[in-house]
Amino acid sequence: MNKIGLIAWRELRGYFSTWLAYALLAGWLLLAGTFFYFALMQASQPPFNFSLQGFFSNLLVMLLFITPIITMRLIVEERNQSTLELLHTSPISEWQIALGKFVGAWSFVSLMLLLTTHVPFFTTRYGSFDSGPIWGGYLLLLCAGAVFVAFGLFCSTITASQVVAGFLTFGGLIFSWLLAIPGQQPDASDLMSFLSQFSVLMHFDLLLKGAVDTKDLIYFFTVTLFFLYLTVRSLESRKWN
Amino acid sequence: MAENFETNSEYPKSATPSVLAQNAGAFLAMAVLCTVGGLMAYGSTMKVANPWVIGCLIVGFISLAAWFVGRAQQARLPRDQYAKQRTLIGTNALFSTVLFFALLVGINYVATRRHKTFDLTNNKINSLSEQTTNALTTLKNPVQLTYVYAPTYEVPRVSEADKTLLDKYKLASDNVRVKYLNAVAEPSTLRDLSVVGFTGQPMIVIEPIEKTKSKNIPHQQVDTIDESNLTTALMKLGKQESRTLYYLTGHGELGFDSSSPTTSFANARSRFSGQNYTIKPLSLAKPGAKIPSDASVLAVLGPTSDLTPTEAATLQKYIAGKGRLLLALRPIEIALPRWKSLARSLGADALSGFVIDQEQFINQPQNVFGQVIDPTKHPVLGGVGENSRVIFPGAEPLKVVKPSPQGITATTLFESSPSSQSVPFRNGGSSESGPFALAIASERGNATTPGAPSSAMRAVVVCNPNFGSDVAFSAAANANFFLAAVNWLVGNDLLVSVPPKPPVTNTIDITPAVLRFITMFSLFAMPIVTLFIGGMVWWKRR
Repeated sequence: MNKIGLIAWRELRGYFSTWLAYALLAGWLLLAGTFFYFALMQASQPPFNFSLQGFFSNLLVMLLFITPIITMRLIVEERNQSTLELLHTSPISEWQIALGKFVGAWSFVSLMLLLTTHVPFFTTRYGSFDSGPIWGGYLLLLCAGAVFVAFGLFCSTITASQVVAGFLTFGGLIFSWLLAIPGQQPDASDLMSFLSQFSVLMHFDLLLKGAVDTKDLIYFFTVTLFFLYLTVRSLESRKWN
Repeated sequence: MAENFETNSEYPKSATPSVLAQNAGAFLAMAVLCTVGGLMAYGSTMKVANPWVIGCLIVGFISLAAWFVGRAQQARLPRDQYAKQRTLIGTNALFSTVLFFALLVGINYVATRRHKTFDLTNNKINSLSEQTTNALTTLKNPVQLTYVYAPTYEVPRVSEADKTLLDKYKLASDNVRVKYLNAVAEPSTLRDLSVVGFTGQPMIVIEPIEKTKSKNIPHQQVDTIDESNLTTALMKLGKQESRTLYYLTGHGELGFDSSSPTTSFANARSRFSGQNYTIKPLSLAKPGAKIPSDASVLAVLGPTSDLTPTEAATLQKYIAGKGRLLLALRPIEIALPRWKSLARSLGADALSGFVIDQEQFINQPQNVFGQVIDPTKHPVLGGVGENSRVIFPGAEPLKVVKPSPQGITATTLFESSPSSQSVPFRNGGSSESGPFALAIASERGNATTPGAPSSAMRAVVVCNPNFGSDVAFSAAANANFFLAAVNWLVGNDLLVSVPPKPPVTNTIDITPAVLRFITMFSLFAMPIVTLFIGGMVWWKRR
C-alpha cells in the first residue's frame, strides 16, 4: 500500500507541477460555474423549481471530455522518458503500478469535484433543498470518474503516443455513451437491451435522483476493476519480448 | 539468431518470402473493402442478386483466401526461438481476460437480480411506498403488466416517468413482468388483450401470466397510471371478492346516485367501482327491514331528518355486532337526537353549530381542513399520507366522548386548528373555541395494530358528507381519505389507499445581490485564482 501511495502521490504532484493542471481546473471551474448560473436562472422562471440534475449531468459530460486529457500521459510519458523500465525493474508489481497511477489520476478528478462543492453550499444555504440528489450526484461523478480514469489508463498503456491515447479514451467513452441509445427504446431486442447495460448512461439515472442502487455501484466497481486488470496485462506484455 | 537457424532443423535454411506472404496485409485490406462495398451494394438495392454484391463477394473471398495462404507461408519463415512462448503467454492472457470478463458479467447479472436501493431523498420519492412493497410480496403467481401506448408526433415513445415506475415494480418483485405494446404497430395483440375503451392515452393491462389456471380472473385495466392505481389493480388480481357498499336513504341523505352538480358522488362512485365495490341504496323505512348480510359497509351521508325508533334500534344492533359504519353528519339546525345518540355510542359527541376558522380560509371560514401530522396514529391516516390535508366544506363540531363507551376505542383522525370556533345557528347561542374533531375513527374489539385480527365493529364519524362529493372529492387528499376510510372499515387494510408521494419542490430564494456574488464567485473568482496559482507555478519553474 505504501508503494501505491508513493506512486499516487508522485502522480498527483506531477499534475500540479505543470501549468496544464491549473488550466484544466480553471476551465472546469468556469464551466461548473456557468452550469450553476444557468440552474439559478432557470429557478427564476415558472414553475420556479430548482434542480441540480442538469448541473450534474453537464459535469458528467465534461468529465467525459476532460478525463482523456488527464489520463493520456499516465503511462505514455513514462515510456517516452524511459522511466517505465525503471518502474519495471524496481520491486513494484504491475498491479501496484496500475493502482498507483489510477489512484493518482482519480485523486485529481476527486479534487476537481471537491472544488465544485461551493454549489451545494450556496444551494443549501439559500434554498429549501433535498440533499439526496446532491449526494447521489457527487457519488455518480466519483464512480463515473473512476471508470473513465481506469479506461484512460488502459488506453495509455497500449500506445506510445499521448494524442492517440487521448483519442482512444475519448472514442471509447463516446462509444460507451452511444451504446445505451438502442437499448433504451421500448421495443428494443433482448440483445440490444443486454448490450446497453454495458454503458455508463444506463447506470446514472437513479443516482442523479438521489437513490443509490447496489447494482449501479457494483457496475462501476467491476468495470473499473476490469480495465485495471487489462492495464496490468498490458504492462505485463512488455515482459513477453 | 543465425546460429539458431543452422542448428535447429525445424526452420528452413533459406527464407525468402513469396509475393503472397509479402502482401498478406494488402489482401486482408482488400477483403475488408470488398465486405464494406458488398454491404453498401446490398443496402442500395436490398437484393443479394446484384452484380456489385456478387462481384464484391467473389473478389472478397479470393482476397481472403490469398491472405490465408500468405499467412501460412509467413508462418514457415524463420522466427525467433521465443515466438512459441509468446504465443502461449498471449493466448493464456487472452483466455484469462475472457474468463475474468465473464466472471464480472456474472457478478453484474446477479447484482441486477438481487439488489437493494437506498433512497437518500427526504420523502423517498424514488421508492415504492411500504403499502406497495407489502402488496407485491403477497403476489403468489407471476403477473404481466402490459403498457399499451399509441405513439404520436408529440409523444413518439413511452413516457420516461411511466417507464421508471414500471421498472420499480419489476425490480421490487420477481413475479412482475413488464411488456410494452405499441397499439398502432400491433393492433391484433391489442385485440387479444380485450382492452376496454382504449383512447390512445397510455394505459396498463395487468393479467396473470398463467392464464390457463386463472381463466376466471379478468384482467385489470389502469387508465390513470400512478403508483396508487397500479398497486390497487395488482391487489384486485389476488382479491377477487366483490364488496358491497350500501348507502342509507330516507332521511335526506346524499346518495351515490345523485345527479345534482353540488351533491353528486360520481367521482367517488367511479373510484370505488374500480376497487371492486358494488354500490347500492338501502332503506330501513319498511317494517322488518334489515341491513343485508352482504353489506361490507353502510354509509350514511348527511341525514337531515331523524331516525325512527325502529331504524335506530336496527342501527344500534348493527353496530353492537360486527357493523361497519361510515356516519357523516352535517351541521344542521334541526335537532337529530337519535343520530346524535348513535354517534355517542360510537364515542363521538356531535355538538350543535358549525365550525369556522378565520385563519385557515380567510374568505371562506366555514371551510375547514384537517392535516395529517402523524400517519402512524391510525391506518386511515397512513392511507391519506403525511402532511396531507382533507377539506371539509362546512363542518359539524365533534368531540371524542370521555370517558369512551364501554369497549369502544375512539381516535381523532382530524381536528380543526386551535383558532377555530363553533358558531351557533341562532343569535344568543353559545360558541365554543376549538380545536374540534372533524373525523373520528372508533372500533370495538382489538386495538388497531398491524397484523391484528379485524375488530368486531368499526366506524368512522365525519363532520360533513360533502368531503366525498364531487365538489371536494378531487381537492387536497379528500379522495384518499374517503377510500382509506372505507377500506379500513371493511378490513381491506392492504387496499387502504396508497397515497401519492408529495411532490418534490426544491426552491432557492436569493436576492439580486446574492446572485451577483454567487456569479462573481463561481464564474470569475475561482477560475481566476486557479489560473493565478498556475501562473505562479509556471513562473517559479520556468
